[in-house]
Amino acid sequence: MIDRIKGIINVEWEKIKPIQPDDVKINTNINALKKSLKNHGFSLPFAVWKDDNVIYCVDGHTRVKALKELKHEGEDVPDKLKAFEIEAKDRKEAVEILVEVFNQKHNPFDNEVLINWLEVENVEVKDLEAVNIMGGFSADDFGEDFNLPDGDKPPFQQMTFTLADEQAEQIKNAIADIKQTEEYKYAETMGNENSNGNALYLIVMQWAEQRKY
Amino acid sequence: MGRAKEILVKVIPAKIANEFVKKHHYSGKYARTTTISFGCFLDGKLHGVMQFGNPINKEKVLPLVDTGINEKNLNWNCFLELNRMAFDEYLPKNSESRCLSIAFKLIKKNAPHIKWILSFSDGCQSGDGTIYRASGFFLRQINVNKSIYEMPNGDKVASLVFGLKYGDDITAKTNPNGRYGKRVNESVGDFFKRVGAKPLQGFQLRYIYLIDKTCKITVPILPFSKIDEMGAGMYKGKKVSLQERKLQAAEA
Repeated sequence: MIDRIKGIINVEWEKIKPIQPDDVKINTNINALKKSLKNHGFSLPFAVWKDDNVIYCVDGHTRVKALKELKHEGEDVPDKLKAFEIEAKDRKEAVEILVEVFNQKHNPFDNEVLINWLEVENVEVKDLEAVNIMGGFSADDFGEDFNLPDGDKPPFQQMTFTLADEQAEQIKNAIADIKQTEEYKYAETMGNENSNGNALYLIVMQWAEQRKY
Repeated sequence: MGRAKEILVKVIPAKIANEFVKKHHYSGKYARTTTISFGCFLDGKLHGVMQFGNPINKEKVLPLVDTGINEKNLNWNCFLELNRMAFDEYLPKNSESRCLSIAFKLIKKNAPHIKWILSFSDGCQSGDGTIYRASGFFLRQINVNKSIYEMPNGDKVASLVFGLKYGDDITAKTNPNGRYGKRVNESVGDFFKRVGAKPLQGFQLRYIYLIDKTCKITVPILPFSKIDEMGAGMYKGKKVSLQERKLQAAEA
């Protein structure tokens, strides 16, 4: 077994670069984390990987965010904090370690973003089941309040018709033709942004007008 | 009730709920029309998800219940469809009805304009709605399945998806039309015939739950015995009548 921990280093935590996409984790506990940092201080080092002079975060992305917020709120946060440096031969290996070793203790991954990101990084996770995509959060992270739309039907509706192919073709052509006219440019839309709906309405209005004579 | 009493029901983000449903629902798919997702937690972990939202054809469903408001448009947001319910094996007996009961209470508290709930039970692949019957739903309809088809590769697909628009490229693999090879301008019926897709044998059951008990269901309610009469009984994907289940439970 390899010992990947090269040592404990002091890092300017605000300069640590994220290695993972911002939306790969479903953040649910930043407030709990901030509370913990305020109550207990910074008690767990970051895990970082150094590529030349750039320090990348392997574990601690959410803590960096929480610390930034705390600093912004006036909390006295030291400029340098401890991190243990992880040995990885390249970025790909650092990502593998991030996903398979430091998989969200508190925040679950967004499965879709994770899969897309690993494709970009050309990383194959050997055992995706071992990566706890769904776990790691508790009922305390969520509430019981919500809102649902109330009131009237929106003043728009969709209409569906069944047409023979030839009929559909004629209607499509008529809609395309009327869209080229000056009348279409200045037609009454009643707030509707659907161009086909507006064009069809104009055709019907012209037909209704013609019937008067 | 046992340990089901210890379950906590919370509002959870759709992303988390969708992932859970993909993993635990028999269809492996979440409903894109969902507007609110509830998570069911036991021993600190998520073990169940209930997703509520809009049905695809709201206009058609609205007249099923008389809310006492005569203007159709004012009723537009007065009901929800229970789109998905997925529980893992960790949860004890009676968890589903317990969770539904809590969800209805939360809906009543947070969205008092929601008067009733509609749900469907898939008696082709899953069950005939045991949980709904245990939770106070009324049985409204039992239909022979004409909407879920088995594709030649074994996928089960609702015929409805071939009529939906998924962007302009009909051949894209993300578009069911492209994925299964439906031709442009080909009717869904002709497409099924050409590729040899067959409707699944079984029934679709429709249930209604009244949150506001002053509302009235405007269509005939079916007795639960109708399920056996029509041979629509199914439990956990296996064809079995209500009567047989009663006997099995009595013997156990």
